[in-house]
Amino acid sequence: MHATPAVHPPLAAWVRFAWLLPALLFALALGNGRWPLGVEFAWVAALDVAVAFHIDGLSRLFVLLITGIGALVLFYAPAYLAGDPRLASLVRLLLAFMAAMLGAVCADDLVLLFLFWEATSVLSFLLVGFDHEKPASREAARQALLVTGGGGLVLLAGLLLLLEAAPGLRLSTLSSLDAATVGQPLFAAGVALVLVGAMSKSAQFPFHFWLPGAMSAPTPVSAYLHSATMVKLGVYLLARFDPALSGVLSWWADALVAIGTLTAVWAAVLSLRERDLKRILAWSTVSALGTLTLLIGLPNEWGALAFAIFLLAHALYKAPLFFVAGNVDHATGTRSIDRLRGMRRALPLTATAAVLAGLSMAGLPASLGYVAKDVMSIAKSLSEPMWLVGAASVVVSAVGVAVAAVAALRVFFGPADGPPLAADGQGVSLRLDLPPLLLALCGLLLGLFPAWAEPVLLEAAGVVAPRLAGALPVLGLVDGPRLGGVAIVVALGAATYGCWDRFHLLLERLRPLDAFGPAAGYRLALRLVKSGGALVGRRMQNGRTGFYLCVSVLAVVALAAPLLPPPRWSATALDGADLGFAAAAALAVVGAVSAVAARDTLARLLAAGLVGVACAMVFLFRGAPDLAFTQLVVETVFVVVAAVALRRHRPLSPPPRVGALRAAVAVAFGALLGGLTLAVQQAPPDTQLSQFFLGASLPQAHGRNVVNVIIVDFRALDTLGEIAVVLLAAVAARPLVAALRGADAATAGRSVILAHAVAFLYPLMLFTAALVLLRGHNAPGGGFIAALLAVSASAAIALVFGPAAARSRLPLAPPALAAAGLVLALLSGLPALLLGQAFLTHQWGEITLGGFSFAFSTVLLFDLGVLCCVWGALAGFCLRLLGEGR
Amino acid sequence: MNAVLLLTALPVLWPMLTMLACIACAGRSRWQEGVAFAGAVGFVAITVALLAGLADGAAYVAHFGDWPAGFAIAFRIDRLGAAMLAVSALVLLAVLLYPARVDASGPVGPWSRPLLFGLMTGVGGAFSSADLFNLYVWFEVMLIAALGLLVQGGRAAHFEAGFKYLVLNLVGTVWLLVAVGGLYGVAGQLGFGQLAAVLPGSGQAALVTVFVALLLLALLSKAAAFPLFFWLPAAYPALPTPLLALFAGLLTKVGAYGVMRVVGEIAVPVAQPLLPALGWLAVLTMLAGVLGAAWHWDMRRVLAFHIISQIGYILLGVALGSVAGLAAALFYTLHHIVVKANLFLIGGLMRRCGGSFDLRRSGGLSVTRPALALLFALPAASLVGVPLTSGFWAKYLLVRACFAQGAYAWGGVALLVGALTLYSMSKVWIEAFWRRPEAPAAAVVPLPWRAWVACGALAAITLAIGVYPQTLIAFAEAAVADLALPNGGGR
Repeated sequence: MHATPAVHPPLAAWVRFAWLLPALLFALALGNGRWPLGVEFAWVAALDVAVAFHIDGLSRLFVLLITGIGALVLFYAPAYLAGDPRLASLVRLLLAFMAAMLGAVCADDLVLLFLFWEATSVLSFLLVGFDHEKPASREAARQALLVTGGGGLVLLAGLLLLLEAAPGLRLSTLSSLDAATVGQPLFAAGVALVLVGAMSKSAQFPFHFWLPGAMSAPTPVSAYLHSATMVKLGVYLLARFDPALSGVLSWWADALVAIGTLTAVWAAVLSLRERDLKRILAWSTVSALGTLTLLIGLPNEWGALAFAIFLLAHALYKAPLFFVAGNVDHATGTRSIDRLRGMRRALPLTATAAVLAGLSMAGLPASLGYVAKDVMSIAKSLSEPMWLVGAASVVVSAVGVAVAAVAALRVFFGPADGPPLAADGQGVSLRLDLPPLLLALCGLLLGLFPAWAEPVLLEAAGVVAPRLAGALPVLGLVDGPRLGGVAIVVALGAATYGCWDRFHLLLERLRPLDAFGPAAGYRLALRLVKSGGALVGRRMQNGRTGFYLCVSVLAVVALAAPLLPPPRWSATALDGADLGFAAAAALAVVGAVSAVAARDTLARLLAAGLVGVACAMVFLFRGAPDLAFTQLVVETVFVVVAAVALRRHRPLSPPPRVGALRAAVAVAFGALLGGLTLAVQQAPPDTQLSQFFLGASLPQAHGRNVVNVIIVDFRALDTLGEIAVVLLAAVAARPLVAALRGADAATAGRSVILAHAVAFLYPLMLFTAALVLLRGHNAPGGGFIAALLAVSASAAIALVFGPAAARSRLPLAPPALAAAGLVLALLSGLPALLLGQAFLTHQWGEITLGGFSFAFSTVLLFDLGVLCCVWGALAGFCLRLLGEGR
Repeated sequence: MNAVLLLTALPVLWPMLTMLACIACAGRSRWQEGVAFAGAVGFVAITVALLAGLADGAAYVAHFGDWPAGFAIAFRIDRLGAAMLAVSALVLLAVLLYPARVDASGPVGPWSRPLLFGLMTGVGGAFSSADLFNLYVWFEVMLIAALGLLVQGGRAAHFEAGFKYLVLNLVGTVWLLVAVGGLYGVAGQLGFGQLAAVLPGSGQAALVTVFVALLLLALLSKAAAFPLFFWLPAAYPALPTPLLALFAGLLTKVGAYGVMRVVGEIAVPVAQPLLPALGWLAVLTMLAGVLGAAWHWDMRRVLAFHIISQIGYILLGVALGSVAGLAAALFYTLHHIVVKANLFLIGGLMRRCGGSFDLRRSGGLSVTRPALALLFALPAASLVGVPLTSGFWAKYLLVRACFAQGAYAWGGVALLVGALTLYSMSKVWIEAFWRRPEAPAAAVVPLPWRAWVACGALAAITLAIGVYPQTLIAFAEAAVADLALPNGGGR
């Protein structure tokens, strides 16, 4: 971010004047409008989500902070990043962020609130990672995103539960909920989740660790997001919920007090460990956020008032201190308090701002910080005596004083030892000094004249504590005892400041304890994600097909088998068909087992073919000769062609042996399928559909062969899909076949007798195919079988005379033939569409020509399409496999 | 000419005719490209016409062959199916607009486009069919066309991917066939409506449940659910970018759509006792997918595992079995198809600009390619579920439906997986866009305008849904309300 290119790129003017926009908004919000202000537009009616805004005193205080500090940040940024080409994008992001913040604090609808909330998380990711070439910046951005984004999801869960428990809930209707609604466990669970979400955003323990890391952002971003606005969004939400919950949910207030106290002390102590000025300020910001949470949790009205004052006071001193840190960094190139000493001479105005802000941070009289501390101590004294909280607040305040002293005194007034800095730095212009001065002065002025801020603060506090109806004493009444308290704290703080380096060394020695801290939890979670990912990405997805298959099959067996009804065994007498069936089954078993056991590829192929033959036998004995024939031809052609192809091409390595586990899985799967088949066989069949097919086949579909009528008419669409599959399979196989083909595919050792026989058989087989096609509608046959005959004929020619010869005898090139077949099948369905009938409604007609009457039908066209498609596709496949087309 | 009957058949006829036209000009690449593009435009027009005719909630019905209902194969395109068809057509158009060779991830031969339209034939049929066996046929068409597309590259990696895809999907197909056959054996019917009427009172309750479970498992394997997802990460990275985008967008969603049909329509009361198991499988799917994605460094594998994770979300909605749950699932599916396809398309552009799909070898794109960064950010944010993108509403609907039915654990896991998705996508962003690349940046190559248009249009849809989700939510609820649903109306 300190890039100083020789040539400053031309800067768009709007970047220099972007600050005017928030300044204008600030003025508008400061002017006396009518509060609360509400607007609503319909948006997602189905989810009862509306673009609803409700701006009351609390929102107004936040709007003033966001726009006021936003204006100064935008004023500061162009000078800070002068000459950096990314300045415009930074300003754009800051403007977008400001819009998101304004939306978040003004939203009334819970979903709308979440929307802006997440937007701030995403924009903060982009802003923290602005210097994304540095690894630390990227890591910090990711950490901030994951913690606040993850917290955002928890918040969403909470909001959803709240909406479930109290439908139509809005932020503005929270306080009017009845005790019964709030008392529901669902509502309480929602509140708990909202609390967690808010804690992550406001860096409360144990989510605090992301905030110091986020300091790798450019200074304007840190000043804006990480001190004045975004981190206070969580606190804002808690303050919103507090009036509806305190006193109704017993644990709410206690939880806030406990979390706030722990965060405040923890962060205060850890701030002593840092040497980087910005990180010191970041920890003290976390501490302040803890204090704010604690104040919301205090059960009396003074707590609410203290919350409002401290919110403002903190913004008015912490933002300037961040600017100061940025100026020092800008001038010297370092933020280490070990190297920074005596900077007052180089940066007089910055030093002034630091001192003024430091006064307020230390809580010295005549500053707004003092007023805040004052009201805080009243609030605490009115609460039940909690000595732990009291002691904690002393520690926190003392460290606050020490941090103020470090930022204002040590850096600027300490003895300048070591070589002079500012070697690589740039001058600090007025544009860099004005914002911190202005804010710090505000802090002092409001401390002197708290009444100026009173209306805004009382209005805001009145939202958090509705009973606080403007009946409070004038702010800033200084009385003795509390002044004494301030003196004690300042003395302790001075002592802490004096021992700062010793504390640092002590805490450094405790650093190994970090291994048990929340940040370590974050790292552990990331490691868990990585090892979980390795489990899935490497152990499960290990590249082994056999493993995949085993797991998949096992899963299905395990999930389906428990549902299987217990088997019922029944003994029935076997007839002849059953005996054939049994023989087929035995053959299938033999084939399957041999296919697995065989070591030789060819033997495996033959064994697999045996299973197919067994299937054909089953069809035959079950009264489906068409199917039996089809199956037989398919098996034969496949085995022969594959065997020839295998013999010609490079040998395949034998498969690995089948392990016991895989065998068991396979057997279990087979048993499942067998059991299912058995169970279906035993159930009384519903034959409605088959009865219809049998009954309607002849009278309505004009075919005696029901199987064929089903294929070409009743379920012609299935067939259309299937021949498309055949066509696509042939296309799909092209590269496979191309890769499989070996170097030499010449037909060797052709027998003359065989050649003559095949040459004679070819036309005969085609003629048979035509016959089978024509008679198929009434007798066993049809397009599929005809096609298989034709394919056999082509394959025979190819095997004997070579593929080129077979191809030359085809009516069209194989792909064209297949495509033409599909076209024919499609065409057969189109006349129906033209006639206003459903697609594939077949037409029947008769033409009388010279005394002869020809019956014709689109059914034949369809079946011819099937023939051509299957023939073209399979013949093409076989020919390529046998070496055609190289 | 009956326009309704024609329109009902067109989701299958049109892509099939386009496929044939593409085969006819297989030798002329530019012609084929034009034909394919025209086919995609026509497909979009058909689906728009279908949707326009369904505004009042009726359905397009055709009984092929004019056989009586219950005996003919029926197409019944209701709003659920029409919406799936429309988004599929849209993605197809974007994929064809996207230049085929933008990132040198694979050659496109003369047979890719015929196979592509073969795939779309299957997709069109699956979303239109109201017949269980016919549905099986369209799954088969998809399977074989997808296999063809996988191996078109012709290298060993393609064959390995194709082999794994084929083996694992064939097994799934066997389950599907057994389930269809079994249900036919028990009920004697194949039509969705007929099965819905017959199955509850079949007197074979146990057997019907097994077959419905097997049917669901088969569809889950097509949807790449846990633990049946292995084929997806094994096969997809071998595809060239535009095809990968189409596969990623559509294929698994057809399986998820099938699950929706079975749970919401075909086997309504039968599936109800299976829903808790489905829900837990969905939870495991979400987790396994996102963990795998978080682990990987190859952009394609990261996104491939995210497909699995997002399928888990969709299945979770279905497992709720209510109008709210299924509406969430439908909304999720429609939004996700667009997002996922777009992410893969943009991944191709990132590969071209950054030099590698491997995130560790990429980098610096936010500086060299700010527009690409913006283009990537939108669908990536939608995948995570950042507000004002479509993904936010999808997750919101789903988690809300979970909570409304007391399924707090499921809803909680859905949110947790959202956080893990955030982790994964921020990793992609940080590595590819933020980190300075190790190698000096190559010269900035111009990206083709067609890629910008395709990705930009899909991103615009994501944003439009995100900004104004009301229309799509209302549509999804109405579309799902037509179904019978096991867990009733709910809200």
